[in-house]
Amino acid sequence: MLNNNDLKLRTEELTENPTARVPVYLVLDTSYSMKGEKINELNSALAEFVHAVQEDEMAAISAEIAVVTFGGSVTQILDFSSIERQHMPVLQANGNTPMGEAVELALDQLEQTKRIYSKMGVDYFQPWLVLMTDGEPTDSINEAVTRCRQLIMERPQKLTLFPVAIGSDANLDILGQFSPSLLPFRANAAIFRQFFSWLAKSINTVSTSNPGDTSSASFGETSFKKHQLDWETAMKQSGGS
Amino acid sequence: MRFPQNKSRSINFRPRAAAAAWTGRKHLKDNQTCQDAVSTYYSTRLAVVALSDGAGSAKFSALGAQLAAQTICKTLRASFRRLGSSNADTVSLVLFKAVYNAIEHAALKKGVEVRDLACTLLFSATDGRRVLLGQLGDGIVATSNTGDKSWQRVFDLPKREYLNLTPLITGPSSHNHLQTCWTDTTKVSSVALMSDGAAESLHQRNSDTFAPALERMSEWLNKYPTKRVNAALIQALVEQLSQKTFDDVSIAFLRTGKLRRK
Repeated sequence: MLNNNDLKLRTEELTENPTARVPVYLVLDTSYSMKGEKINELNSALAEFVHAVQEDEMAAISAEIAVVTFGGSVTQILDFSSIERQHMPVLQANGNTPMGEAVELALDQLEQTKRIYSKMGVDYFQPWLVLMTDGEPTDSINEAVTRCRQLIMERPQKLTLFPVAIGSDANLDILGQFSPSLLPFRANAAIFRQFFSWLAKSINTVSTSNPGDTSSASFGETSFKKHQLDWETAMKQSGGS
Repeated sequence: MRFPQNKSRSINFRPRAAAAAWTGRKHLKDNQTCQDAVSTYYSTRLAVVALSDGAGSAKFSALGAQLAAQTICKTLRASFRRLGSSNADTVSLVLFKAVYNAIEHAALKKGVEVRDLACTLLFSATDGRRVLLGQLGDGIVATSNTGDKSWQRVFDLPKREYLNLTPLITGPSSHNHLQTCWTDTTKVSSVALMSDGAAESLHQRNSDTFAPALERMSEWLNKYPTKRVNAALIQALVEQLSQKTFDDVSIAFLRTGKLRRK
């Protein structure tokens, strides 16, 4: 006699696997020159960014965000952890600009995180690093630049770096050294929200991609280039520089 | 009364095959078609199953996957006996060429690049004695033997550091990525093919073991008509396996059988 229940699976007969991770590192300038509108807008944009990623069903369980700031000293203010459990601290602006040290710390942390993922059998997408600064570094960036370029030029690409210059005092030549494949984008404080909104949507897209889809590195770079034009247009229209 | 002994008659298990594919939540949300495809064939002499997962980045990968699965089935149906005397490398070459040519032809007809139909490929076939297994790209081919009930993965998983990187039929040097092997029905009584999406719920990555559901679904082929099994597989994909992933999900089963001897 045919048994209908026999032809149905029970949940406990299936297995669970850890969700693939999307590691994103935000390396943010909080030096003295960021005081005022810039740091306020950055704080607002970051809060909205975290909220947008948390709201997406898949991104909320796969995105892992870490944040290091460089303003006087280099501080890891958010460790890699699921964004579901994270709360973005409010940033304060003070001190000089140890950019090189901050980027190297981020790269070290990314390597350590990848080792942990591998040890735990957790799949992950190519990491993204966002570097935002409004000035020039006050320390040596040579080692950080070499490491970044090496990771970006390797095949398969091991890192995607989005260089964002804030305001007219940011040195695009220096920032541009970090990423051989993406030109720095010069943003004003008003465009932060749009940038972080794009970042949240991009993370959401990557988190639901599958083997055979465009790599997260390729997708990220293509999308960044495409949106740069939109952001620059928006800034011109709002009279910003 | 004594019954005459017919020593030449073997046990009558016919080879059986069943398969199903379902659209993942991501494609449903984006209003896109399923990019996984399955194909089966069985008779009293031969059973074939094939499964293909279209690459998300390829515009016509759903078509590519359909062609790949159907071509493998058609080719093995026509050539299994002849291929049975060939080694695994020759078999790989013959099958790869057949699938690639079909995809290339379709690409030309559509006026697109071959890579626009990129997909993976998994398959198995048996004539009741020999069993052929093959894989190119992601997904899992697993086998079990009567009485054992435990399942083993047949091929090594593609080595990659990051997700989104898998060998595809249309990729560079892709023929080198097609793995095939021969075994026989003394060692294998069941074969399962599963796409990456389905493997999320059926294969535990850390321990490289399989969920109890796999054996149960395979057993359905022993107990129920194929049509009923196909329907049950779809139900399992829709109600359970597709809930644990955003990817398309597909699965195929083959029960090897021993030929009737007259």
